[in-house]
Amino acid sequence: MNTDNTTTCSKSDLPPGDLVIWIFIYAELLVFGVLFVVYAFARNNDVELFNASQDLVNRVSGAANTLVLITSSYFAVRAVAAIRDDDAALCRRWLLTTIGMGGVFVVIKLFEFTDKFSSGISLSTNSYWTFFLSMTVFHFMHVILGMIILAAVYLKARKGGYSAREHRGVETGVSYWHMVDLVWIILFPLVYVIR
Amino acid sequence: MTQSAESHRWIRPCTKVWLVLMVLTLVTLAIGQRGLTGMPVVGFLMVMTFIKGQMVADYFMGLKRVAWRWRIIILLYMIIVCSLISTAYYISVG
Repeated sequence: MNTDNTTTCSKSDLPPGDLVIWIFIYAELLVFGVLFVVYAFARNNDVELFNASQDLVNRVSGAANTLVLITSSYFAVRAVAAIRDDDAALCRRWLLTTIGMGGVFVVIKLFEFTDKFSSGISLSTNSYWTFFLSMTVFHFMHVILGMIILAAVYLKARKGGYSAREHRGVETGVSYWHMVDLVWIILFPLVYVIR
Repeated sequence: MTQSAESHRWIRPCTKVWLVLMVLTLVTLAIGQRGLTGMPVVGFLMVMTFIKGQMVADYFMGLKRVAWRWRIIILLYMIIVCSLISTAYYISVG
């Protein structure tokens, strides 16, 4: 299989990485998509309640986390570019910075969750918080999984497991990470901003 | 063209996309902080979300250089999800 999908001029038949991860990515997107649409329509049952509850979220931390995830995705792109250039050391460094940015996301989110829980907000407070906490915690778990996948890719890279000729594992892990970013790009305006 | 040159050709647009994504996120935050509401605002935010999602899919995920059948899945996904969210908010306004 050609793992060098985006460095050739002609279009590749298959997306970067393992095909199975793309089936997984599309399935995950479908699940999140259903949640987003159900949230949007459920909001119509009590718009005032949703707007009042949304006033309590920390938009700045939500935006900060968006910037962090977008930047981590860009770092992941650099990791793939590095291994395609056969620079495994540089690839490992970009992978580490990507994981590090994931760590920043986790810390910001933990502060946010702690703040909400300590002020008495829980899943059963009202419909808005049920959706907000369910969707953000669900996404948070995907960030953790993404970091674990990237850490596994990093460990294999440290053992010299990837090269310019064979780097499908890097593309696979990075593709999953981009999916985590893509989901947050919709989630942030939906639950933090739009009213 | 060498592989390194190819990679640089690929990285340059991704760097621009990264900067655009950062700016669009700050615009989204500014709208939220100002408390702007109404259907035009919702429409604007969803169009921005659609553009951001497509940028991630096309450039970061690399689907721009992959067969159309793979790219169209996320394109349709973004269109359907953003449209349904907009419809839900349109109903709430109306």
